[in-house]
Amino acid sequence: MSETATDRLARMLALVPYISRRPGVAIGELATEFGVSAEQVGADLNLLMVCGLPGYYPDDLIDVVLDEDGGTVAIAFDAGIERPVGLTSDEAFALMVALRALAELPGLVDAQAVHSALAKLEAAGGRGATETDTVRVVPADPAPALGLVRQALDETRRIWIRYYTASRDAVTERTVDPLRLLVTDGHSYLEAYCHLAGAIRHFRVDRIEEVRLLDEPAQATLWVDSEIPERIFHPDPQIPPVTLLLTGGARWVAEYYSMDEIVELAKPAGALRVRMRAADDEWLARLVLSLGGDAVIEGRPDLTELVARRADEALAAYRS
Amino acid sequence: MATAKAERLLNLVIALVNSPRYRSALWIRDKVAGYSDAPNDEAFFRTFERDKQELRELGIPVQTPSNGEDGYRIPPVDFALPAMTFTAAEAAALALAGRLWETTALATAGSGALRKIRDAAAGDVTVGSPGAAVPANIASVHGPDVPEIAAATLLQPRVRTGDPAFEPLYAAVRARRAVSFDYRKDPTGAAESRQLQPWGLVSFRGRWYVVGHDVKRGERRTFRLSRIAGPVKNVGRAGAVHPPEGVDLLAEVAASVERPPDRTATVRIRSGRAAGLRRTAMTEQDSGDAPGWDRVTLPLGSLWDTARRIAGHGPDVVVEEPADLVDATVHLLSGTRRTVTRRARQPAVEASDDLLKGLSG
Repeated sequence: MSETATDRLARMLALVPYISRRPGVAIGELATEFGVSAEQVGADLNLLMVCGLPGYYPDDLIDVVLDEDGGTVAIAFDAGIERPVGLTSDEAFALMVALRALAELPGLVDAQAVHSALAKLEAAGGRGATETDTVRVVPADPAPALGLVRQALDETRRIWIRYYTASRDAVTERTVDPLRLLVTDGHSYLEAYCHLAGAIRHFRVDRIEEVRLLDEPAQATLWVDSEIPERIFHPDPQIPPVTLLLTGGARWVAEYYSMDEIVELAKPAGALRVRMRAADDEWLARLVLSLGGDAVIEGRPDLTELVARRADEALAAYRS
Repeated sequence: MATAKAERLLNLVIALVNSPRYRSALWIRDKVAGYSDAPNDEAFFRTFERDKQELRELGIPVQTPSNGEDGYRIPPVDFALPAMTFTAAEAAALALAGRLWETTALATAGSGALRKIRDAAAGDVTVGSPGAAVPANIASVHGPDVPEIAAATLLQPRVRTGDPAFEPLYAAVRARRAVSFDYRKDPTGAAESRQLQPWGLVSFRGRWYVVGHDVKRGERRTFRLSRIAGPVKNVGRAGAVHPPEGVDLLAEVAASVERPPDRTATVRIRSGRAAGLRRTAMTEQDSGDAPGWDRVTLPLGSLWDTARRIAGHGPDVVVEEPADLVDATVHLLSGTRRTVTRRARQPAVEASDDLLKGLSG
């Protein structure tokens, strides 16, 4: 086992207060909480039982009361270590940087509460409170609609939104029932049941142009996933993939959008052949036109023709 | 071995926390289980010094008398985390903060901190919310009677730290230690070796960056973690890096990632088209001289980024001014046209050639 004695000591010092506050706690819960196996918890408890006050008579030792049948544990004598140890500098750092990150996104949490919580942590001697500006996190771009969206979630209210859909380059109006607010990968997303689509959808909150709280309550949630999906947007598997040849200045496209396949080509040097599922042909045409000849659509003469015609028409406007 | 050491350390903590006064080294060697095995004075002091250091790293201070006499104790007030009271809103913010990090050392540290705060408060302290006093049990924030806390489950913030370079760079920043790594500035270019005195890490627009002093180039630089190739190696001793006073890491990264708009552009947009461009518009009005078009003023930062966004709309958007934006847009559209023409002449040969390479590679 690669665990150091110090790591183990830290866990045992945290186990005692945890169990003291929850007499009869299950071994399984301890294993989950501390991220170790039930066997390891058992070994830790056995070790605790042989430690205690100098003299080490039976009454001096930590008294761990194990209920073998029920798989639960309590502590009858804690030898004076029933309070959690002060935060280590790493712990204070992780928590305080995270709190500051939450404060960077107006509307997400009560900024005043964040600052007062930070002040309390600092006052409690959060060691390592200094230098927390060496890690800065902006969890997501600012989104003016965030405050109202949060309010709708808190009050379980249905909302009306004007929403910009980037893949269609269009603004639509929708009525949605908010479920959750996800903040990940630099954006905040509203997960909601959309009455226009008749399904659960994710809306980037910074693309909500206008939001109104309706008087109707949001539909009760039947089920909410507790985890954030690995990728918020999954390409629709129904859409046939398109092959693109990306050269030089267009290689970033492979990094930026979700790709089915990326093949590095020997000729032309530095080129990539990628397969992707775009929202629609219009979106693809816009992408290729914006790349100024560094991207080529393969195997879709109709799309190539569309791109060429658009370019010709656009150029004509500058010749007149 | 590790078990014996953990046992000895725990017994030392218990002995020193419970002592009403300073205890001498001799007393510790004699009374605390695990120290009497030392074959001689030297071995005992070597072990004892190392143990004290490890306790300090865990946040447990071993105190000695100010008059320099031989003696050790752990004052209970310094040992334990004091109980803290949090309002419901503060508790909700803390609960979110403790879950912000995904994987890595930060996640373990964050949830460990939260557990300690909770256990320091639970039992004898309640959250100060008038009329609805609840235990400050941050783990169970699902209580339906506390709306401010229940709301926390409706919020799921996560900061991912999946870049392999994150952990070593985080450790280097915390230890103030210089590093070296290979960096691919341009995705098409070869990786170049860099030596950096890292000042800090920034997560911006969903990506991690490290800011610091590039030793070979003698300049302040920003690097994107996803473009670091291969391992990050430590260079030199801890504590050797000194970030300049008052440096704003976030501003450094923002400036390196995007150019703030400093000009405006005027474009014609066909009615009902280019909703995305219109979202950034400063002013928008009917174009009097061209029916069916709107005249829109846009903020202009990066010339080429703006030109790309405009060129994408083809004939639906026409640049009026400035002249360099007209030129850039025409350049992109002409490039697209040339490529289509060239491909139309000889597409088949190149495609089959590449396909073979793709299959064999």
